Order: sequence, then structure tokens, then C-alpha cells
Amino acid sequence: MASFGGKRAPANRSRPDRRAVLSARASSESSSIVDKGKRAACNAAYVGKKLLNSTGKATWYLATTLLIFVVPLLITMDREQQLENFELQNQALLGPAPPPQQVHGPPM
Amino acid sequence: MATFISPPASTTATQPTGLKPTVIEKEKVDYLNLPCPIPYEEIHREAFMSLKPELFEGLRFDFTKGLNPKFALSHSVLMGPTEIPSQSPETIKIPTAHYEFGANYLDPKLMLVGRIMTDGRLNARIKCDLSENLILKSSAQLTNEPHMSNVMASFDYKGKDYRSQFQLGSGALFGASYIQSVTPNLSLGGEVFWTGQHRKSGIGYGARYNNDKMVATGQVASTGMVLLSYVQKVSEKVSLASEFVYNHMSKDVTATFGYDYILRQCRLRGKIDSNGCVGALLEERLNLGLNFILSAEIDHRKKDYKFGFGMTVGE
Repeated sequence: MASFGGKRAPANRSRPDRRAVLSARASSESSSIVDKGKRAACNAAYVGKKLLNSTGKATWYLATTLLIFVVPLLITMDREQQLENFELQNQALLGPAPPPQQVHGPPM
Repeated sequence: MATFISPPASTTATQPTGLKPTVIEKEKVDYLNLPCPIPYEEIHREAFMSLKPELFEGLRFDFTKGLNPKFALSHSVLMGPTEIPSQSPETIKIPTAHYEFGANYLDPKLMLVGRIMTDGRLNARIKCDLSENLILKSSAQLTNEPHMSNVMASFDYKGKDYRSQFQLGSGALFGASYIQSVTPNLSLGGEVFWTGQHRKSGIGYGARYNNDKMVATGQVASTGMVLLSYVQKVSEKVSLASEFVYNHMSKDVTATFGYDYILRQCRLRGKIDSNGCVGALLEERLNLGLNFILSAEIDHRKKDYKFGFGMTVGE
């Protein structure tokens, strides 16, 4: 952007002849492609950075939310399952009527 | 939940004794024998149970010692940062420590609870059955700061299929509410209140539908508040709750979803709401009369993180 304006501004100011105008136009046209590319790259980098940033943020929010909301649930459910399995095994080993409830408090 | 009204109990009792061969007859509802509804102020009880766990920050230790079956003393220590109300969006916290001493007297007819904290705050609650149907409830908060103390008293009358309540409070607060069972599952109610201090009055309506699997409630008040809640009991151990609150005056909308797992050794409650706030409370039973509590709350928007742990000893 800066190079574009810099090249064009002096040409306009000092009333040049036709050739100078043409060459200036040609150079400005050739530089506009480079410039467009530059700008596109710049934009892409900017968008990419933003995207990465917001993805990171979203991941952070999601991860912390899951850590609070879901992880304790999974752990307690798993332990409950293990307890039940253990009780079933005990029942199978010790016979049909053991009193396992005494260990774990009142039955649900 | 023990308070759930079981509709078949009331309807089967009133089934005609005359034997009829047509079995596929709709159970007739005896509208003169409806169950008593739950109090108007408690219509969201189940939803609040799972969506509003007592989250705290820091350390807390509670010890309750029963001197005899009716009388108990309690001691509790709270340590941790407390929030200071301020205008700035960032929360300001200062570390504090409190000791609280309490005494409870529990009797089927009379309940007295008192709590005093080291910073001079005193809480007292009384619940007294004046007769079979009339209950007097009173609560008081006294502080050293002027204009922060308040006293409240209410008379509850429990009818056969309705309940009414009359409330009196400091600051010239008057309130009355009434709730009536309309069908075995549905109850409708309303309330009016007037505060002399702020020269404000209001009116509100509420409805509650419950059966043994779910509870749905709705409440509208002239203060602009609309509250809808729904609790689904998935099984004996698990219930899921959701709530929607809309305030017409401040245009605040909040939706909350939560779960409540009551397992053999622990109780876990979690909630998440549309303000970016996540919370969970785990109450773990280590031994008979010994509970371990873990509390976590994250407010993503305010960047406020609260974590706490505690112990509860004694019943």
C-alpha cells in the first residue's frame, strides 16, 4: 500500500509528459499484482491467527467446562459400577444371602 | 422424594366397589379428595435442589454434636476469599475467616435454630406448629450494620387440598399466597405482596405439574420475572433439571441445565448455564457421619474461578 502511493504521488504532483505517465501506470499495474498478493497473504495470516486464537479459546472453554461438568460424573459412575460388580462377585462367591449392605450403609 | 404425591393412592381408594366387567375404564378423579399441594414458595423445590447447590470458595469445616436427641450444638469454620460488591466488572476478593456457633433444638412440634458468627451476625429461625393445620415460621437476621437487620414471620395454613400463607416482615412487608390442587397432578397458585418501605406491590401466579417421573413448574410475577423449570427423574438415583428465567425489566435471559446423581457413597450435582457459568458439587460420604465436600465453579465471562473443599462431621 505504501509503495503504491509513494510511486504515484510524485508523478501526479510534477505534471509529467505522456511517457512518464504510461511508465508510471505500467509500474503501478505490475506492482498492484504483487501488492494484491501481499495483501492476500497478510489477510490470510491475520485470519489464520484469529482463527487459531479463537479455536484455542474455544478449546480452553470446552475443556475446562468438561473438566468440571463431566469428569467427576464419569469417575463417580465408574466407581459405582465397580462397587456393584464387586458386590455381585461377593454374592456369587459367598452364597445367595450375604449381608453386604452393612458395609455400605443402608440400601438404596 | 417423599413429598411426591402419588395419584393412584387417592383415586384407587375412591373406586366404586360395585364390580364392573369393563376394566378399561378411565380412572375417575375424585375432585373432593385431592392431595394437599406443596407450599407456593417451594413449587420449584426439585429444580432448585439440583440447580442451586451450595457452592462455596475456600475451606469449610462443620461439626455438629448432639447433646441429646433433641438438642445439638454446631461449630463451623469458614476460610477463604469473599467477594466485595463493587462497580468495576472485575471481582475483588479479600481473604476472610469466620467461626460460627450454632444451637439447634428439634422437636416434631417446635424447631429452633440459632447461628452467631464472629463478625456479629446473628441468624435465628423458628418453626412452630400452633395447631394441626396452622404453622408459624419466623426468621431473623441481625447485624451490627444499620438497616441490614430484618425480621420475617409467616403463618401457614394447611387445608385438605390447599395451602395458604400470610407473611409479615420488617420494612412493612406484607405478603399472602395461596395454592390449590386442581387435579391430582396439577396445582395452581398465586401471591400478592406489598412493601411499605419501597412503596411497591406485586402479584404473581404459579403452576406446578408433577407425577412420579417429572415435575414441571411455571411462575410469572408482575416484577417482570418469568420462571419455567422442568425436572425429569430418569431413575431412582438420577434426575435431570432445566430452568429458564426471563426478566422483562432488565431483559435478562438465563437457561440452566443440571444433573443430580445420588449414588451409594456420594451425591454429585452439576449445572451449566447460558451465562458461561459451570459448577459442580460433590458430597462424598467417607464414613457414617463424616462427609467430604468438593465444590467447583467457573465463570468464564467474569473469569471468576471458585474452588472449595470441606468436611462435615456429625449429622
